[in-house]
Amino acid sequence: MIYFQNIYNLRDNVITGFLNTFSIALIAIILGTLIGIIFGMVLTYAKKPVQWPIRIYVDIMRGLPVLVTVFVVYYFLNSVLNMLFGFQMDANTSGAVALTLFSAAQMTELTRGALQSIPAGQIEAGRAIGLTFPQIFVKILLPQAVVQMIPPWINSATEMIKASTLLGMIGIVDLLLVTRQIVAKYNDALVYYVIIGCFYFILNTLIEFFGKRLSKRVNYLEKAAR
Amino acid sequence: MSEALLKFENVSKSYGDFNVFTDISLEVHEKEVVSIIGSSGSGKTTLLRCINLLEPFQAGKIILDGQEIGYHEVNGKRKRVSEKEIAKQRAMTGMVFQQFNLFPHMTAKKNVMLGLTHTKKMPVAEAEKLAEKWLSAVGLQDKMDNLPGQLSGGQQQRVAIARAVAMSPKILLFDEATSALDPELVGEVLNVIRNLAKEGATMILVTHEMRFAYEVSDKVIFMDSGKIAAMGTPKEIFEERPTERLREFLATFNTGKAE
Repeated sequence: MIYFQNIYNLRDNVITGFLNTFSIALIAIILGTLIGIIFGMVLTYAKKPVQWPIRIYVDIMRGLPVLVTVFVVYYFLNSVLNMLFGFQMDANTSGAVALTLFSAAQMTELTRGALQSIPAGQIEAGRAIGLTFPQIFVKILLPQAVVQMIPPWINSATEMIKASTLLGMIGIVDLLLVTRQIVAKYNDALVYYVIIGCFYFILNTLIEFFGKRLSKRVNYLEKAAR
Repeated sequence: MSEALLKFENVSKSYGDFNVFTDISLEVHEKEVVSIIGSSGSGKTTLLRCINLLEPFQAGKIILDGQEIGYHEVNGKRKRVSEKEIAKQRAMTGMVFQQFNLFPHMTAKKNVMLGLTHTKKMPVAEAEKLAEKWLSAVGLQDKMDNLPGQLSGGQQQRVAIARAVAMSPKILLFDEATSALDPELVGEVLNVIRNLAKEGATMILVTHEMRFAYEVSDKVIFMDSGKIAAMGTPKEIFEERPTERLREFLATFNTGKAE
């Protein structure tokens, strides 16, 4: 097929686009999860004044369109960095930072929700047998929170893949930008957009499929435990 | 008489302006079983929760096994001790909760083992043996690998008792241990507590089971609006009923009007 032949002709770009999309989304998911778990803990267990800055950060991130965050990081944050320290992040780094900021806010809310749904009696029971809070968190709270977090976490992961398509706007060669390049060269916009659309659809469907299987497995435990 | 194992010296507790209890002093000796009775809101559960520092208190001293717990003096000011120290002091007590509070993601055996391996730093094999021993002692030898959700309320509470006892605490605290159970499951839990009493465990029971309190206690404390309104042997409290308020309270149980 001529279309796939054309895609193959630009294979180097396609591979770059795929790697960029995937690596940036992956960084955002992993870093976002780690930061989100810590921030989620703070929002659940820390004193109010410590919660405030994180609360504000999370609300801003969740209230802004992701594209605005991307622009703010790329244009505004970079010019601030330049002014203060005389350096700038390249487009890829800026994109990763922007998506991580967004993803961390999502994961924070998700962690907070899961932790808050665990009855206070669990912490008290841990305390009563002499455990310290870090031990209680790792052995008692986190394992219960994770079970509840998996379904919305999968959802957030697919959100990140979709959000990565915005990165072409600051010149990152992501899959969508490569598609635009192909269209610019060979026309037939509809065909190529359908192909890339199918690709994203399949990728996200796969993630959700495996996510559902995973949460079913841990849910089996959960069901037995209720 | 020997030095008391647990001593309250003028302990007071309040939430803001509301005084939960004021100026409480009492002693519990080794191998004694003390029941605390009283209507809801009389402060008896809160009193119990102060002993393992789940609740802070504002004045007075609680002394357990010769050691003041929860607080110390720094430059003449009363300060809470570090969380690490508090965790250590808590391990001297064992608590059984009204709602069991088992860890739902762990088997019965793992529930009992957690404190042994993590607080007492016991090797896993040894902790497992001890967990098996205590689960058998409460009659759950064939339920050790079940998750709490697969157990009845009475079985869950017995796991919770095993979890508390396995830590070999100096004193066991029961916070309305049978109040959340279906009536037909109360007996099996009370039996376990009765056996512990026979074996010489030191226990404080906050309870609404008057008959049981009468039967197992060495001392009964009647609390009313944040005060110890009466204290004595089961006979003195339940038969002689020294105060008007106590008579009223016990009457609600006899006529079945209990909460």
